[in-house]
Amino acid sequence: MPAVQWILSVFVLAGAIPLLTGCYQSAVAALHRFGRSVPAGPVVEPRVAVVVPAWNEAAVIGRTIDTLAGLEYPPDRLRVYVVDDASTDETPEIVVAKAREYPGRVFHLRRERGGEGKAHTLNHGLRCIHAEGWFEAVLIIDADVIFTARSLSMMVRHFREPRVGAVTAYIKEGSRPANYLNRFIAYEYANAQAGARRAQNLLGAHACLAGGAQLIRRASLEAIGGVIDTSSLAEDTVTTLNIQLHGARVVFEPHAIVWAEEPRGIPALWKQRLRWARGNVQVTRRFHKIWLRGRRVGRLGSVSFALIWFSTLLMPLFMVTASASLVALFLMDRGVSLELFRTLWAVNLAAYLFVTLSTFSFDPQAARTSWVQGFAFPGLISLTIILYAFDPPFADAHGGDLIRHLGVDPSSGLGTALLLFAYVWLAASMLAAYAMKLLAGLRWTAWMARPLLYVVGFGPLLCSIAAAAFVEEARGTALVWEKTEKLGAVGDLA
Amino acid sequence: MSENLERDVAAGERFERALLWRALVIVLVIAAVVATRALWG
Repeated sequence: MPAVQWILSVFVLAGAIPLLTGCYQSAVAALHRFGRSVPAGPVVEPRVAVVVPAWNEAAVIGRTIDTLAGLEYPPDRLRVYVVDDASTDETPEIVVAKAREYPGRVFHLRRERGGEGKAHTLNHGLRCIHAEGWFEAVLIIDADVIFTARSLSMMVRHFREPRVGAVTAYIKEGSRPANYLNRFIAYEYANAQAGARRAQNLLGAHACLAGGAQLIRRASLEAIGGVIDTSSLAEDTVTTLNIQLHGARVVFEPHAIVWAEEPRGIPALWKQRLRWARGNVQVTRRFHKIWLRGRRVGRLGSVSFALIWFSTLLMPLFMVTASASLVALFLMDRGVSLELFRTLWAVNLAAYLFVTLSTFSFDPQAARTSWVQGFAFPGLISLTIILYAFDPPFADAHGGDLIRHLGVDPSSGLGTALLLFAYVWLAASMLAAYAMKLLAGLRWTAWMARPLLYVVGFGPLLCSIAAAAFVEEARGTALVWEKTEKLGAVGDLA
Repeated sequence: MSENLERDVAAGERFERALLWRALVIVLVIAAVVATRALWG
C-alpha cells in the first residue's frame, strides 16, 4: 500500500480515539474502589460559607436557601451568602425575607452594578466573607441547585486528608417533568460526571469542579489569590487547575448528590454549552505549559489527562479528518476504504456498547429514566451505519445487505452515493446538528427538534458546539456571559 | 458522624465494589456478541 494510503488509514482509525478514550475512562472508573479512601479520624466539620451568585433568580432562590438551611450539617457551622447581582425581579425581597427567617445564617449581599458575569458576582461574595474571616471552607453553588440532605457532609469528609484542597459533587439533571432533552442530559451527566470524574479521581487529576458544587478549603482558595478568575468563560476549570497546580488534590464525591435544572430546548442548551466549550478552548491556550509535561505539574501533566482533555476538545477534528480520509481513500482504492470503514465502525460499536452500558452502571437511577436516550446518544443514523458496517453478512442472512435490501445495487450510482454518505456522516452529522439547532430556534420548525435529535444524535450536537467554539474563538467574538434561564423546574428530589 | 451519614457512606462503598463486577459482566456480554458474530460469520 502506498505511503499516502497508510497515512490516510491512520487518520481514519484516529476517528475512534474519542470513543476509545471513553472506554478507557469507563474502565478506570470501574476500578474506583481501589482509589484513595477517606482516612479514618475524627469528624471534620469546617465552618462553611456557601456563596450563591444570583441574578433574577426569584423562581428558585427561596427553595435553594431552604434546602441549604435544612442540610444535615451543624447550623452554627454553615452560613449562606446570596450575592444578588443587581437583580431586577423579586430576588432581593425573597433573600431578605429568608435572612429574617434564618437570622445569622443567611445573608443578602447586594451588588448595585451587575451584569458583569458569574465570576465577578462570586468575587464580591468572596471579598465579603474574607473580610468577615469566619469561614474555613467555601462552597460555591448555582442559585438553582438542590443539595440532598447529607451531600455536604459527604463532601467535607474528604478534608480529613490535609492535601485535599477542593471537593465536588455529582450534579444530576433534576427537571421534573423531564422532557426529551433533559433525559439526554441526565444520561450525559451520568457519563461525564459519574463516570469521567470517578476516573479522574483515580488518575489523580481533575479537569473541572462542577460549577454548581465547588467546596474549596480556605487555604487553597487563598493560594490561588482568594478570588475567581474573571478573564475566561470557564472560571470553574481555571479554579480547578490552579488549585492542583498549587499542590492540592481535587476530589469528586460520587455519592454527594446535587440536583440541577438544565435547559429544556436546544437553543438554550447551545448557548450554555458554547460558553463552556469556548471556555475550554481558552483554558487549553492559557495552560499550555501543563500538557504532557510529566511530573513537573503533577498528574495534570500525565498522558492520561492530556488524552482525556484533548479527545473531547479535538473531537470535531477527529471526525472531519476521518471522514475526509475515507473519501480520499475511496477515490484511490474503494476496497481499502471499505475495509477501514468497517474496522472503524466495528471498533466504535464495541466502544459504544461498553461506554453506554458502563454509564448505566455508574448511575442506575438515570439509566432507568434515560436508557432510550443513552442508546440513542450517537443518533439513529450513526447506529444504522454501525450495524451495517459491523455485520453485512449478518444482514445478508436476515434479508440481505442493507443497501441491497433497499433495492439498490451497491455498484450503482445510488449505491456509491449511499456509501459515500456513510463515509462523510461523521463530519456531516455536525452540520446536521447545526441545522437542527437553527430549526429548533424557528417558530414553525421548533417541533422538529425532538425527532431530529434522536435521528442526528446528542453526541454530534455536542461535537457541533465544540466546532462552533473554535470558530467563535478564532473570530474573536466578544466574551459575553449569558446566563441560562432557570424556572424552578427541579422536582421534589432532595 | 451521624448514623444516617454512616449508612450513606457504607452504601456508597458497596456501590463502588459492585462497579467492577458490573464492568466485567459488560465485557463478557460484548465478548459473547463478538464471538457469536465470529462463529456466525
